[in-house]
Amino acid sequence: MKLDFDNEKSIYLQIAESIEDDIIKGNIDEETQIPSTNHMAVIYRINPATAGKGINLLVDRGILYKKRGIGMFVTIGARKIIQDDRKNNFYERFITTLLEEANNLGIKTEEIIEMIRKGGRSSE
Amino acid sequence: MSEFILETKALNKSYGDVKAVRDFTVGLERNKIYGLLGRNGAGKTTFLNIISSRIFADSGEVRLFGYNAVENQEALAKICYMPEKDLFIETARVSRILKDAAIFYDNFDMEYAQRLCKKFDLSTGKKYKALSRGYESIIRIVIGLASRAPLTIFDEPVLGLDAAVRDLFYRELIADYESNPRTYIISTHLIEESADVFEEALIIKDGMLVEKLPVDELKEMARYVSGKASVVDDAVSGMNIVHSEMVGNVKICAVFERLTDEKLRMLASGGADVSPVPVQKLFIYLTEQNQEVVK
Repeated sequence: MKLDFDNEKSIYLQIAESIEDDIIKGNIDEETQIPSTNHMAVIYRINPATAGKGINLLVDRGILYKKRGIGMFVTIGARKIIQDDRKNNFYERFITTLLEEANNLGIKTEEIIEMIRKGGRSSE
Repeated sequence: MSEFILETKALNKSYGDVKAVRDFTVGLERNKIYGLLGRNGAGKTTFLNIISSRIFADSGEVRLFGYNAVENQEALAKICYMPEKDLFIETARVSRILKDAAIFYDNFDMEYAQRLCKKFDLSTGKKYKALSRGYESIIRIVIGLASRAPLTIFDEPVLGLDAAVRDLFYRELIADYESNPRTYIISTHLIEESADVFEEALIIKDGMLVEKLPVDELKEMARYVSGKASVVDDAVSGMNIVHSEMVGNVKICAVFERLTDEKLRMLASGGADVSPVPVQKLFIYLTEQNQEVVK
């Protein structure tokens, strides 16, 4: 989990995203428990209601579930849910900003594609 | 019984010609942390003094836990108010002050108070008058937290404290709030670092309550819109503009209102840049004396 937030988005969204990141990267496995709302509130120095709001967002999306009297757990299949959601948002999140900046700098689409090819090769 | 643990109706208080608190009506719910935010002289302390019956309003009503608060011991016993100054006997030792607090506040937890003294490095053998400004704040923090009072009020609790100790205070408050939920009112002008601790912000200006909103919403309502003046003017037309300035040829406006997705799209549609407003800046705009209104 990260320890700081930026101004760009509401804190509860960033809490949710940070947990998602950990699930996607495999830092938190499916069927394991996540830190309690209380614990997160103290660590992040935020109002517990805000931490709860972030966690509820993930419960609503079927990524977390509550085990009564124990705490919050990652559902089986959570990783897939997050990946699918993020693939859907990929264009909006990355391509739009990429094209905007490229447009400001006068970079042509072919040049962008070439850059992506180069980047792809080096990471393969 | 009322859903509010504290309710004020049309409070007014003047000192000579100065109206310190004006037509102040508010209701606070159980077990929430409220931030009372205002600039120096905005009326924060006067408001806190009134609700805790340290002083009396010229007119209006205060209800605490459903009772009329004026000289109502039952209601006042549920409050712990740690004002900014003038509270303790100068010659008393810290240990004595804590013992007195334990008698005064029904729920006072001495064992917790002792633990807090260790955490905050406050030596209980010292006399109050020998404490530095920072430790004067710390003894208030210790008593306020350990009082476990259903309504705990801090007026500028972190004055004179360095960043590390302020951080410790916020964390301790949140940790204890979890196991001992209660209502807090915390006045401060250090907003950036404390805003996320509050569930709701009460913004006070010239003795009046100008906003009472969840902190999340407050942040979501504010955006900078910047770009060519003509583009920005088009984008923000009809919106509530709380700040506006020119930087060279670039115009920067801050808008403050409920921003639907559609409105956000409109703001950006003409090519203007839209970005978040840091909460401390927003606070300055909302409490500025001369807000420049752009047509």
